[in-house]
This record gives sequence, C-alpha cells and structure tokens, in this order.
Amino acid sequence: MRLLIVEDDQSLNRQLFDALTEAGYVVDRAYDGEEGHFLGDTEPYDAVILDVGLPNMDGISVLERWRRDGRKMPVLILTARDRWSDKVQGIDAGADDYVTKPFHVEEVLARVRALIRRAAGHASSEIHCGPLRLDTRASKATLNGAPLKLTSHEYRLLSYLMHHLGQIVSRTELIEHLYDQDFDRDSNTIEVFVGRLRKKIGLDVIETVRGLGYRMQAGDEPAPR
Amino acid sequence: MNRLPADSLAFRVIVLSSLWAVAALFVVGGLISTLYGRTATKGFQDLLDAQLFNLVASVAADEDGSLKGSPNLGDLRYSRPQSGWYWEAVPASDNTTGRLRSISLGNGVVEPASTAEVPFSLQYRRSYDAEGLKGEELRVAETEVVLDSQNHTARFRVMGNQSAIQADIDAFNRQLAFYLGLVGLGSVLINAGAILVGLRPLRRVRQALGDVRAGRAQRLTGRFPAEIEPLAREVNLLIDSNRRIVERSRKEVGNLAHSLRTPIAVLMNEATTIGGTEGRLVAEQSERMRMQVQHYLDRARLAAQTETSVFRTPMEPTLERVARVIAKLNPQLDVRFRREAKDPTVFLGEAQDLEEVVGNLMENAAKFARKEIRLTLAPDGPDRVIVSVEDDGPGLTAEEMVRAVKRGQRLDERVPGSGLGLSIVADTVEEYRGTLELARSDLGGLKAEVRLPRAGQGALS
Repeated sequence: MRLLIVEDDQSLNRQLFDALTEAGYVVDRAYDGEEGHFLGDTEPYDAVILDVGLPNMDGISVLERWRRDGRKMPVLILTARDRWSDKVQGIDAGADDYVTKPFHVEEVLARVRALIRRAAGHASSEIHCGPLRLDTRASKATLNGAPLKLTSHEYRLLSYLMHHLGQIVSRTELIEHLYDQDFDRDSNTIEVFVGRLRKKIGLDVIETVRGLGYRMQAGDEPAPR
Repeated sequence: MNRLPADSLAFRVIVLSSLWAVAALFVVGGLISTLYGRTATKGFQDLLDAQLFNLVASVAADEDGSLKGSPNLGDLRYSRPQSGWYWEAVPASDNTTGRLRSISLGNGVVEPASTAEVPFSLQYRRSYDAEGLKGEELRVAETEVVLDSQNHTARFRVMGNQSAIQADIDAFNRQLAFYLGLVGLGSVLINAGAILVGLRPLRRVRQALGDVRAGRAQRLTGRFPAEIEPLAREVNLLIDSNRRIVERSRKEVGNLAHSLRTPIAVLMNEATTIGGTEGRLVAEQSERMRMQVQHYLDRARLAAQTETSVFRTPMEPTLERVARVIAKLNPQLDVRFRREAKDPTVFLGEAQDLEEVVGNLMENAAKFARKEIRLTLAPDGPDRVIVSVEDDGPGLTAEEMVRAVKRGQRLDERVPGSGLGLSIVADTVEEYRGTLELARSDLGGLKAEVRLPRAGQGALS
C-alpha cells in the first residue's frame, strides 16, 4: 500500500512518515501544495493524507484539482479548523475523512486503514481469503489461525492483493503501490517476493495470469459491497 | 424631558436666552415708559397752553382798565373748588384793575415763581411747577398780554393738577408692565420649548447609540438634522472601524490558536515516542495546551455569536449538506433527512451556527449508531422549528442524559477541555434562546431535539 503525506510541518510530516512506515505502508512525502499536487497527480496512491493549510497551494485547492482531473484515491484531510463549515468545505471538495489537529498519529493510522478498506469495498478491518486472514489493524496475517511470519515487503504484497481480491493486479501496479517513487522499476523483485509468499501460504492461492499479472480469488470471503 | 442637569446644553441655552429676554424687556419697557411720559407731559402742557389761549381770548379790559369777561374753558374741573385746576387773570400794569379767577381757585392764592428763576420766553410765556392750595403739584402756564391800545396789561395763568397726568402715566406703566411681562413669560416658554424640541435629535442619537451598544442595531439609523448628520456619519464610521478591529483581532486570535495546533500535535506524538517520565511530562503539558487552545477558540466563537444580529438562513439546504457529509463519512450508515413542512423553513440566525448544532448532534449520533441516523425538520408553532437527530445505537440512561446536557453550561463556568460535542451545541442553542432536549428514540437509541427560532412565512422574499 502506497501513501502520500502532504504536510508542511517538518516534524509532523516525519512523525506521520515514521508511524505509517512502521505500520507497513510505503510512504512518499511532500511539503507544499504544488509538490503534493504533482505527486498525487502522477503517482497511483492508495490513500493521501493532506494538510489543509499548505504553502504555495492550499490543501482544498489541491484536492479540488485532483478530483476535477478524475483522481479517485481516498483522501484524509488534516485540519486545524474544527468548525463544521470547515469540515463541510473539505468534504465537499472531495475529502473522504478528516482529522482535526492536534491528533495522535494512531488516530490517523486508524482512519487511513479504514479509508483503504472502504475504497476496496471491505467493511471490517479483517479480510478473509480461504484459510488466509489479514488483520489490517494489527498489520498481521494468519493461515488456518496460525500467525504467518512475513517480512514487511511480503506483508505489503499480500495486503495489496487481498485488498483487491478477484482482480488482476499487474506487475507495474504492484511496483507502483509497494515501492516509493525512487524504486528501480526494471528489477524483478516482484517475482521474487511472489515466489517467497507462495512458499509461505501455498502455491495455488496466488494465481498467475499470463501476460497480465497476479490474482487472488475471493474464496469464501463474503461478496464485497 | 424629565430633568435638566445644570451642565446640559438645553439648560445653558434656556437660562441665557431667558436672561436676555428679561433684560431686553426691561430696556424696552423703560424706553416706552419714558417716551409715553414725555408725550403725556407734553400733551398736558399743550392742553394748558390751549386753555391759556382760550382764557386770553375771552378776557378784555374796559376803558377804565378793569378786567372783564366770563371765560369758559369747557372743563368742569375749573368749577370745582380746590380741584387743582385753576385759572386767573390779574392786572399787570398800573392802569389796569380787577381780577378774574376760576371758581375752583376761590380766594386761594398760588404763588407765582419769581421771574428771576423762571424768565419769560420771547413770546412772553413761561411754564413752571408750583404748589397748589392743598399742596398738590401744579403745572402753571403763564403769559402777560397787552389787552388794548391803552396798554392795559394783564397776567394770565392756567394751572393744571399734575397728579392727574402722573396717575395716567402710572396706569400706563402698570399696563405696560403687565403686557411686557406676558410677552416675556411667553417668549421664555417658547424659547425653552423650541430648544427642547430642537435638541430632541440629540436624544435620538443617544438612543440609537444605546441600541448599538446593546446589540439591537449595527449602526446609527434614521434621519438626523443637517447639524447632526455628519456626527452620526462619523459615529457610524467609528463603529465600523471598531467592528473591523474587533473582527481582525478575533481572526488573529483564531489564527494564533489554530496555528498552535500543529506544533501541539507534534509534541503529543513526540511524547509518545520519547516515553518515560519526560515523555509523560511533555504529553501532559501538550494536552493542557490542546485544552486551552480549544477553550479559547470556543469562547471566541461564542463571543462572535453574541454580536450577530439579524441573519436568515434557509434550513433545508444546510441540513441536507450536513446529512450528505455525515453519510459520506459513514458509508455503513443509512442517513435519512425528513422534512415535515412543505414550505422552506428559515432559521433566524447564522448558517455556521446551525451547521455547528446539527453537525455536532449528527456526529454524535454517527458515533453510536448501528445502521441508521434520522434527521427531522418540523415546524413548532409559527416562530419555532424543531430539529431532531435520532440514532439506533445504545442510547443514554436518564441519568446520563441529564449529565450530558448539564455539561453545556456557559463556557466561562466550564473546565477547559471538558469538550463534548454537546456542550458547544447547548451553548449555541442557548445563544438563540432555543432549547436542547434528550430523549429515547423510536429507533432505539438517543433522540436529541433542538428548538430554534425561525422566520415567518415569506421571510426570504
């Protein structure tokens, strides 16, 4: 899962980055509105954390532009203003949720998780796929009830595929969502990680669709809404 | 005007103008009286002169030089003894004899003035004052006339009682004083009335200013006289600039408070990372800062509310917007907005405040709801409206309801940061003299009911 943080306060930006990275997300950072807008416009993020009060271009304008250009990723706005009119303005501009400053990073984490889940059409914080179970809140996976030992890269890969059950996910899409913007896209790491993951969860769980990418079948997971 | 303080403009002008009126009347009165006295005296003198002439014309001397004639001066007063009106003709040369006199004079004698003191004029006439038979003041007109070619000469005197003319002048003066007094009193009253009426616009200005101070009006309104209009304009400009300053300060306080929130967030999170005693200290202090910032922002918000006067907000769009936001934030919930009136409802207040009230109630409901939130807008009599927010959550016990509403006391009495969404709701509702009630909903959860003022029909058009 790849996230974008747009926050001009260096310290807060770092704190969010640390917490989200620790939670297993791949995180890009921007410190002003223009930079943030550019990244959000060109990279495929699974969610964006966007501060409203930004230099160069304010958060609301950034958001409005993204939505006007058809960018649909879930956006969580951070705002120091807590009047309802401010919230309404943010939501009307296209935000999916908001957190009022000051906040504990855990709050942001929880909201981001919920946003990503919601965007993928999952109502609960746990995603099932046959004997596999992904706990997005704890960033853990279990197989037949037994905890799986996964590296952070493996977890990210599994998490992304499970968030997109039944869909074919291309190699490029995986690279874009699992690595930050500086990653060398020509390498074949994805194949390596898919191989390692298959060893841990069983060969037939991740299906290779020739020439297109990978797919996990929905299995006994209740149909997404 | 109930009372006039001694340092009031009206008092000063009334006193000065009254003093002037009284002084002017005295001067005018004195002048008129003097002029009248002079005229009256001259008329008296003329009368005496005319009668003297008459007398001279009706007396002659016979060949022996004896004076004769029966002058009739046409005035009964000459016939009444000692009336103070006398005439006499006496010889003034040796060859003339006899003496003619009025009945009133009888045998009395009025001493003539010495010619040294009062000399004759070129026409051989003179006038002087003398004492009458009873001590009355007389005016004497006297002349000496050569009656014929034999040089028989007589002295004629006509004497009039001066007290008559004095009485006349006195009567005139009394009347004059009476009428001038009336005029004076009238002019003082009219003056005072004119001043009080003329200064009444000042009173209106004062009332208008009072209205502004009490928040009943935004600025001085109404038409003022040309002299006061510029003053009213200046006062309005002052009020405007004052309001701008207050708004700017409020905005800056808000900006300051808001800008503190990012660093506070950083401190709060860093404290968690640091851990230990230091971490706890930083966490405690940043939590205190957070509460203070919240407290003062809430206060500023309420202070701003008390200054708002007449705003009108169509309710349906605002409520729809809030419902839409809540639905978007909580896609798992069924958010329904039901309106019971056919016509648009207009809230007598600011859109922001309505959003705040409904938004916070809806947010609370969303926190506890399982599947459903219901927002209802219904009229409550001609000038109120009920907004109710219901959910199907666990709801509150009766005790909890009492406590929840009680939190919403005036901000000043509240501990900073005890912020539950309901307190700002209760405070805002109170600001509009509305009510907030909690009850159990048909849906199973909590029902929050807010009554707010609304405008009558057609208020927007």
